[in-house]
Amino acid sequence: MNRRPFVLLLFLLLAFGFLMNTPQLSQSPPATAVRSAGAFIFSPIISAAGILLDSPKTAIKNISALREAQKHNDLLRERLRTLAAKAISYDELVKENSGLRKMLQFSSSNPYKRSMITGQVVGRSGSQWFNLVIVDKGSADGVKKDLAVISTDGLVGKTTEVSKHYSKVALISDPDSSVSAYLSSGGIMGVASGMFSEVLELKYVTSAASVEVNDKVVTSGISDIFPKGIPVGTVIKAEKQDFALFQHILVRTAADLSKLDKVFILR
Amino acid sequence: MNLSYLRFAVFSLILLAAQGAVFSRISVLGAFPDLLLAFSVVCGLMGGASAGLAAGLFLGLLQDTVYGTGFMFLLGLGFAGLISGSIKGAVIRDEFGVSIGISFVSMLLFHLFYGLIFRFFGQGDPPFFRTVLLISPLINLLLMPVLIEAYRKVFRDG
Repeated sequence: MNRRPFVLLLFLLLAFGFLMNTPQLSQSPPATAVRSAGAFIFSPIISAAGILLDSPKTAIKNISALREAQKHNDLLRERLRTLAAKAISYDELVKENSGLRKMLQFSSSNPYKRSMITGQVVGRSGSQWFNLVIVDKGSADGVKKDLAVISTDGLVGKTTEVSKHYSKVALISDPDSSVSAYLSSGGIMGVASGMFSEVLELKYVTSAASVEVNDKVVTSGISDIFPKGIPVGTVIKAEKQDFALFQHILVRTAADLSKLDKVFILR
Repeated sequence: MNLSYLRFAVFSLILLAAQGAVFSRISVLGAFPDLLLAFSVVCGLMGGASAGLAAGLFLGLLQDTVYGTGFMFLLGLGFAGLISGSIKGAVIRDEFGVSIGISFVSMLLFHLFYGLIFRFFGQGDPPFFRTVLLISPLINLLLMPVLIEAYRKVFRDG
């Protein structure tokens, strides 16, 4: 095969290319025109070739990046879930800790000078018509019938039935419950009786007595069951009725009876 | 022995435990759901007056035994089951809305029954009665579909 024309053509092309790139000729109009024409013809081809060559590579890269992102996403989601759960349990622990701290403080201060048995409310009467709770302490723990039951906020009720490991507590909100109490402001005596709800009626306070809303009511200590000074509640209504011997006084319980959890049984 | 009765006894114990441990702590505007009352009413609705009465008496007896409340629950739940079964028998119609209406009336009568007894002895305050009479039956109605399904499962073989 005669290679001379091919070598000649190659030489001419190289010479042409060299001349086109010399500083003197590279900016000349013919050189610019040639470059433009070359760019016009070859750019789409190069671009298409680039895309064709790059596509599988990019696709593979993208797929692996996507997989990686998916993995990261799953990992982050999992971490978020764990953190959310931890945050909830942290909140619960803080709440529990604060409750226990309050109980410990209360228990060590022993304001009523009686030994206290700490119990957990494990059950509640299933009906609103009977206000009873079951506490997880019984005769084995030293609990007896007719012992006062209190919370850190105030009077809860008294034990009515005791088995070996459990006790039933009649709440002060039960209509069968009543406790001798007095208004801490004026020392006026009365009897606080349950009315099913967290509102008690303070009975037998004479119309002559001065009773104000927000007056505090505490146990009088007259009975053997309830020592003196346990907060019973706060007066929310005091009404003198015409020609009536006694006032109509309503008291909101100091302890939140609907959310009882830990209680103290006073021996 | 019919297995349905055994299932009913077991289910009653589950209801009692759930009521004492969980449901009686859920307070909605001062009232809470009453699974045993709702299930007594469901038994009356689905099985008739005598089934409602029997279920109510059994559930009430269980509750009285655990809480030492004399025969108060036995009477009340038996009454509720009997009432729902009797009204259902008289009305005959089988639509869901009718059942819900009967349930509401039965539970209202149950609470009215206690309300009248306690008022007769001068106990309780009017706001409490209003709450219990109106809100409790409404809350219990939300439990009805689940308890109706439970009844079908308990008494699946007749």
